[in-house]
Amino acid sequence: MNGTPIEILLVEDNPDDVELTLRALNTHKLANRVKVVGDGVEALAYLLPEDPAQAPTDGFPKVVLLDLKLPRVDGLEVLRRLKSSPATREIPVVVLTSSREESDMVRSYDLGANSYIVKPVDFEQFMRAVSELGLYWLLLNEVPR
Amino acid sequence: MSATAEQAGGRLRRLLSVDRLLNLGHRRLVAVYAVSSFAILVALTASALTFGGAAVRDQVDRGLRSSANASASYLGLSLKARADVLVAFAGRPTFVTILASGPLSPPSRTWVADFLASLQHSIDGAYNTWVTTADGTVVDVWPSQPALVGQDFSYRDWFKGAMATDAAYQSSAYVSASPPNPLVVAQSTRVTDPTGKVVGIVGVGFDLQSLQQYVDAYQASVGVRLLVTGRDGTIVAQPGGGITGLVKAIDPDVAAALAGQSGGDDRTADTMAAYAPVPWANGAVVAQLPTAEALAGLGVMQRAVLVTAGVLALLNLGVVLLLYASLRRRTVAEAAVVAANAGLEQRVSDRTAALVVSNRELEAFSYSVSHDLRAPLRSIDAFSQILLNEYAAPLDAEGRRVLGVVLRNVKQMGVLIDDLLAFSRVTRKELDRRPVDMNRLVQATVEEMRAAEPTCDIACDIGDLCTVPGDPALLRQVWTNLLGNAAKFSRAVAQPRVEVRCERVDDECRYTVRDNGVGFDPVYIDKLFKPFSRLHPTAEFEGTGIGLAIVARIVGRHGGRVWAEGTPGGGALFGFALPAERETA
Repeated sequence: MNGTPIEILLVEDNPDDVELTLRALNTHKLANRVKVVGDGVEALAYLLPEDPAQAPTDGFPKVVLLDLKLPRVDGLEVLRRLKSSPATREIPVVVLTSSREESDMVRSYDLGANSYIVKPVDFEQFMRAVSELGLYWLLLNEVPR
Repeated sequence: MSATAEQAGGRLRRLLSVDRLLNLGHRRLVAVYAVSSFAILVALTASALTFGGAAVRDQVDRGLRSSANASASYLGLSLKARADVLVAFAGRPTFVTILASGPLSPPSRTWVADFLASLQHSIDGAYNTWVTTADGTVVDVWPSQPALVGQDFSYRDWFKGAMATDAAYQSSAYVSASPPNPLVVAQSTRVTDPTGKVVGIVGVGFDLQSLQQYVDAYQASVGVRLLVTGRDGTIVAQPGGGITGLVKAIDPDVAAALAGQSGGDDRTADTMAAYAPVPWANGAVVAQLPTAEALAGLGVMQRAVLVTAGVLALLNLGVVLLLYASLRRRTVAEAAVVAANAGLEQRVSDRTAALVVSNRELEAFSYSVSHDLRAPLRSIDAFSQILLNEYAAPLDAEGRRVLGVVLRNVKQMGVLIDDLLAFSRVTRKELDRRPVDMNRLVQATVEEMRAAEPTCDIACDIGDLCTVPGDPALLRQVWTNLLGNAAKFSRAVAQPRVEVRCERVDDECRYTVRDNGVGFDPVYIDKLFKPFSRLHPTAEFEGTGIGLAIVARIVGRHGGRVWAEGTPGGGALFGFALPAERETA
């Protein structure tokens, strides 16, 4: 990752899912722009450090891929904190979760999620979904600078 | 120990306060009943004693009056009957002739003696008989008393009385001149010749014994004591007898009776009395009864009344206590019911809380299933797929086939998990009831299905469907599942056809979906609506067997019912009925 700006923050505790997600992103050679954190505390520490000096030097990622079920601080809480903080409010957050629960979806959008994607069980679909969303958010989506 | 005491104290306080709060009403009730019932009892007793006493006195008074009247009548009549005999004798012509002819010849003397003896025999209780001249000189006496013949008895009451009346005269008592000179009363009458001239007086004396016998017999049989006086108030018979001399009764009752009055007398405290004049003889009868004796019955009655009242009072006391006890028991029971109800409410709210908790746990479980079961499944699928894609070369055909089996099962499990979640969502989702236009719902579902499977060419015949209250999302699920089933199982036939119909019957709307597909064996009809039961092999028709279970669950949650008809190869009909909107709105 030397010098390569972090463009995707993947918040995921399941190493298998991390590997699969990275594989999917790598079909478009995006894997080396990904930072992976294993839980909500780490995610918040990275994006919203208590000491502002610790903030990412190379700017915020272009998108946060957020799992909902996380150890310690869960995904919804991370989402709430990111979207209620002026510094991080504009970072697109894509909820990438196994949950098909409507309540999760509704809460996520309520809290300001930009997208809600249910991880398909089917590998091919999963690969397609993740690689496409990577392309979309990194290459097509425009955010205010 | 102090804890126990405190506990006991608390219980006592609670009891007392429950008593105080709940028993106030029935205590007052019982008190009112007790006071009024005892007051009534006392009043009844008092009046029974008062009126009972008066009644007994009244009865005794009447008894005494009738004793006096009856005795006076009897005595009068029996005296009169004797006097009649006397008068009859006095009228005998021979006797009159003998008396009218002056001093008696010896045969006449004998005749008169016989006459007097006959007279004495003819009259009950006659002591002696006699005849005087018109100036009172004794002509003869029977039984014979020669000493008396020629003596003047014109001073006697019987002489004066007889001279003063045409009829017979009853004299008052006097001492007989005939030995042994008993106290006697006499009846006398004039003897008159055919011209009406008085030629003599004939008399008959009675000692007082027969009167005394009557008085004694009356007292013995009736219990009433009689006092009998002659016309001058001299006592001729009295209770217990023992008359040895001429004694005038100094008694207002006697005076009243001699004055011709009859009546009762309760002037003295110790004796009750009644008096009546003796008819014809002009004497007096006084009937007496000592008050104690007269009112002995009253005492008995009063005792009976008091005993009865006492028994009634005891019974009433029992009633009052029973009333109090039963009301108290009822109040306590009511309090217990209230407490039990409170307990019940507590239990219900406990249960509800427990249900809420378990529902929450179920949600957490479902969430966990949704999230956590899917994740490893995804890994298995993905890594198997990677193996198959990137490491196909080192694997032989059998290895690849086995991996294919793994992948197929992973997919099946994914579907099962999704179905399981869908089923549990249907159970948990809160009903959002509103009028649902079933026509539009079915139309939308059909269009959606056609869009999903453009190759499928099924003739759809949709009748007019009534609008019902329900949850639109859930009812849409019902139609999706039923129409999906119909499409799935009729795909294989030459001209697949699906009919949707609706019928309003009473308070429900009945919807049916009929297809001309493979149908089913009605033997298994009860398995149709059970989750994950299937009547067809997966190879032939895909699916996990959750669709109809979801339909049944949704319809059941709407208060409706489901049914099915079918034959193998003869198509199937699935129906559900929902409660219709009440038309009162």
